[in-house]
Amino acid sequence: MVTVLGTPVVENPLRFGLRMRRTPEPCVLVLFGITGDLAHRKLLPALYNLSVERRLPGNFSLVGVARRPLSHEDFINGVKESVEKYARNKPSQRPGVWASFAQGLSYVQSNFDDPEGYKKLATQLEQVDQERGTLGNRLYYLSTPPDAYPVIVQNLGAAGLANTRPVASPNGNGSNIHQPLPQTDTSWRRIIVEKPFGHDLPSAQQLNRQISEVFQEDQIYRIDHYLGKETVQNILVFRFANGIWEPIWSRRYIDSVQITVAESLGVEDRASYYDNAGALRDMLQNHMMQLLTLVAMEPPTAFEAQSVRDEKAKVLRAIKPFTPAEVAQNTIRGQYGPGSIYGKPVPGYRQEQGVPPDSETETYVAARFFVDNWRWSGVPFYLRHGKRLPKRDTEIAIQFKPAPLALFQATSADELQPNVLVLHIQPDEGISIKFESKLPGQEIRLRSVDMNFNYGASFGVESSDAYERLLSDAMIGDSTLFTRRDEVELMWQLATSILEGWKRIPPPTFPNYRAGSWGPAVADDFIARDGRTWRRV
Amino acid sequence: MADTINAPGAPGAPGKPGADTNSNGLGSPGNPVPDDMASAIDVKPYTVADHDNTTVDSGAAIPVAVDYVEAQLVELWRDVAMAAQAMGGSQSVTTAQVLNLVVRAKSYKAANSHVEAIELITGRHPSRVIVAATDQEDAEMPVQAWVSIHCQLPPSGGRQVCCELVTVAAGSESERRMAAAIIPLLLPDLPVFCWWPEGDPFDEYVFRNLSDSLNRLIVDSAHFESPEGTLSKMSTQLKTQWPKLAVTDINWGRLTPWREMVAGFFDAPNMRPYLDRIGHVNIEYALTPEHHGHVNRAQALLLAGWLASRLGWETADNIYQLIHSETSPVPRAHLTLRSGKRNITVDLNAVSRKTDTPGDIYSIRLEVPGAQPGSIPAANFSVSLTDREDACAVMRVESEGSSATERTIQLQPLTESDLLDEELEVYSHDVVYEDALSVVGAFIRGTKHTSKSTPMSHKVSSGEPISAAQAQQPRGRPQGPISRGPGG
Repeated sequence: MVTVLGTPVVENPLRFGLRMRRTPEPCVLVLFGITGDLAHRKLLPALYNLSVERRLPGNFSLVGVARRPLSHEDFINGVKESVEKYARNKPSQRPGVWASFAQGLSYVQSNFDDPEGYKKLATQLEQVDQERGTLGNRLYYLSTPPDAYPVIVQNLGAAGLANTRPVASPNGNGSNIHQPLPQTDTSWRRIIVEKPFGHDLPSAQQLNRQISEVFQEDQIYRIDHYLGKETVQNILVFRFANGIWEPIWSRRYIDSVQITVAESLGVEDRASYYDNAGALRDMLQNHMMQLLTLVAMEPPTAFEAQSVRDEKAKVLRAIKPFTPAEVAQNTIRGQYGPGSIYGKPVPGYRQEQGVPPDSETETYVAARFFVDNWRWSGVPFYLRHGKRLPKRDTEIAIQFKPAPLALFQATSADELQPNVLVLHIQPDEGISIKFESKLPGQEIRLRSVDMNFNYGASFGVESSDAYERLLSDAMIGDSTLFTRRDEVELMWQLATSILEGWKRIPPPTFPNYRAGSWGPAVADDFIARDGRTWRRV
Repeated sequence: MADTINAPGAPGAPGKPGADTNSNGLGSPGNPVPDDMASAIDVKPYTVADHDNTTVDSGAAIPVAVDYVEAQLVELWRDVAMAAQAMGGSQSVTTAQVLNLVVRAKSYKAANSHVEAIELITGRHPSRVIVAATDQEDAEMPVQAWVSIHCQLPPSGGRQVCCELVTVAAGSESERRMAAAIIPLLLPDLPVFCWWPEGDPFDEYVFRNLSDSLNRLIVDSAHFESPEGTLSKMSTQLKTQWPKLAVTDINWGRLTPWREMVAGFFDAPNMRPYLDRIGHVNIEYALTPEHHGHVNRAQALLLAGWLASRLGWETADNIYQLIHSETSPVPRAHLTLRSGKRNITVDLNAVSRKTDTPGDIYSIRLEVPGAQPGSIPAANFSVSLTDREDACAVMRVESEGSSATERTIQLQPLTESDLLDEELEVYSHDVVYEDALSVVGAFIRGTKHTSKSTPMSHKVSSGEPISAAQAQQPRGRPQGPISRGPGG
């Protein structure tokens, strides 16, 4: 490889105007837990797809770290097998392309708490830098059980692998501007942390502390793969690329917001994790709160990491954590019993494999939040999520206030439906607006019509994979779609206040809803107290 | 024309497209709707018959009076919606359209093949497609129209996406009136793209009369009759006559992966200094056996023009030389450029190779000579297609004092649909292309021949002459602001 030169660095003039997103600088991805399920099903296929589609630098290299002893051949074959199975692009189609990718792969066997292993890793990384010209740029990816995070981070620090002189993070909009820094090391070190990020506020704070002893905040990329979904990013486009919504996007015109994440699946093979986590930790605390922030945030000053995340954090700060008394009034939990889904009988939660028969873990959660700021004061945000609901559906429904006067006498006031704007996220992405229209005939009778813009029907394409997007963002240094420290802690603060409250009130008798129903009856009563009903999704 | 709607096959239906209906049905060779792509519901496949009678289909497009096209389309949408309801679909058919696409076809046969390409991208660009076709047989044929709606079922099995297809056809004598039939059919307030797959549009009535309504023109220099002449003309005339019209070239899209690969060599900051030391560039382009005798250097020139414009290489008079040799039937094009005190030479060589498109790039090599002590070592950067049939390229870096590095990468040939798809994503001027085109124009106008004989391949002609009256028509009136799509 060519020697590093001490010449001032300038932007690559040949990149100008190329429509494909810029490719990251040469770098090494160090994947801890490379023998795990996530790595094999998602990460390695995503990396290979990126590589084949020329979104990775030519000399991109990957060093896998795991406990299992593996020969180089076995390691390569294992990766190849998974890529063949799960990636869009198959190694067998183009052996030459695979061979080039495989040249950059290597494996370091080590226990995560063994300092010797990190010495081996350091030697390996230096060798890769030398042989493949990766310039000391490193992205660590923690795809291990979460209890291994602190020890890995500590050891990376102790082995001197975390700290080059911390480089000012390139601004987040993907235009990686290299400061002219003659004669110095411009290499970077970043770390991606998978979820779950802690299991309550103290554990999340502790983990943040432990990581920040070694890495600076702008080196840390906390993944929430929901944000990598194109559909979720489209919420921002819908809100901030259209001028007509902003004036009515406030308490003056909006009555309430409902965010629904319905799953028809049960716990599947995740019982051991899920029974310790529950619906609140698994879904509401992270993904659903992220959706809420995207709906409620103020327009950011720029579409870049700090501005966007500043606004999201402000929303979270405006939601007051519950006191134990408020928890009882503002949340509902449930657990499914036996029932049927799509006409097939399914067992109850306590009968699922790996779940204790007396489990008190919730599989359904509903909550009401208020965002106490000028825009949203008094507007309730209803969030609900459950497993084994009748169908899979994720949507955000914004209900507007009704017309102030019932002008058309032939239709009684209670037949008059309020306008609803729905952002559909899964499985069919789209936007629909419900409004009143006249039924054909001499009399004026009203009927609600649903004007539906279906993303899939208008653009018949598959959206890109969330992990591909997030991996390449992290390599480029764009953290817009990653969760910042304050966001994580604020989200945990809210969730922890609920968990604390639940500890103090006697748990409901589980199971309290049938698999295949829309959740416990108490949830309907809960929203009915406010004079509202859950939307039928 | 009479303001009646002709039902398919009804007496009095214009006798051209779809009239010689037979029941070849779906799946017949050349049918534009492959079975697996066809929607389960009322598909009205495009059925303009070509005149050698090989692609005739049942389910003819509906002939309609030119001023009745809109009304007929509304009826067709109703048919589609009813068919969808009959299938038990719970959701209404959405009629979201994002753009107008006018396509020029010199024959019905060409029209069929262009529509085939467009159907593949309906999913990403739901649009109103207007095909402007010339009836080759009946020069006197007045302007006529046919309408149909196409629904495409995405391969992954989602919902169908529908696009409206209007064919406006005329005999060669009536062509000058075609634009007047097209303009009222354009959907309001949506951008208008014009895809001109064959030849040079600039002297044609259809283009000239439409040009004020267009936002973006997409030509294909791979199919110019005299590529160098037309490129040179484009580099000057576009700026003066159609300054507001954004023009792009499908052939430029074919270069995108090449530009990415070349740019990729210099992404690492420590590699960028090499860009300032390049001394020689060698580009090989394919001379397809079946196109023998018709040399098309458009891609090679645009690639060289791109490097020169991005890296600030200056052109001078007489920089473009065609050098004949005994060994090759095609002269080597040789350019000399300057950057400060440094000379840069660029060679464009033809190599015999089978490719889809005349003049496809085969390889590029950037050479950096070794220099004074203390400076950067000599290095070569090359990308070359492999000779295997696996659609791969090899990127190679050789540098003084270290071992060469090589990487095989996938380089799937881009189909016409892929390329068109990309061009439809952008509404505005492509400055990088326009810069490259200006430089190419400068190359060509500096042409100097060094051989004794006039090279057979290098003729500069400017197509058909246009009348003085045409030339004086006002052109390039400013367009209204264009709304941009999501993410655009």
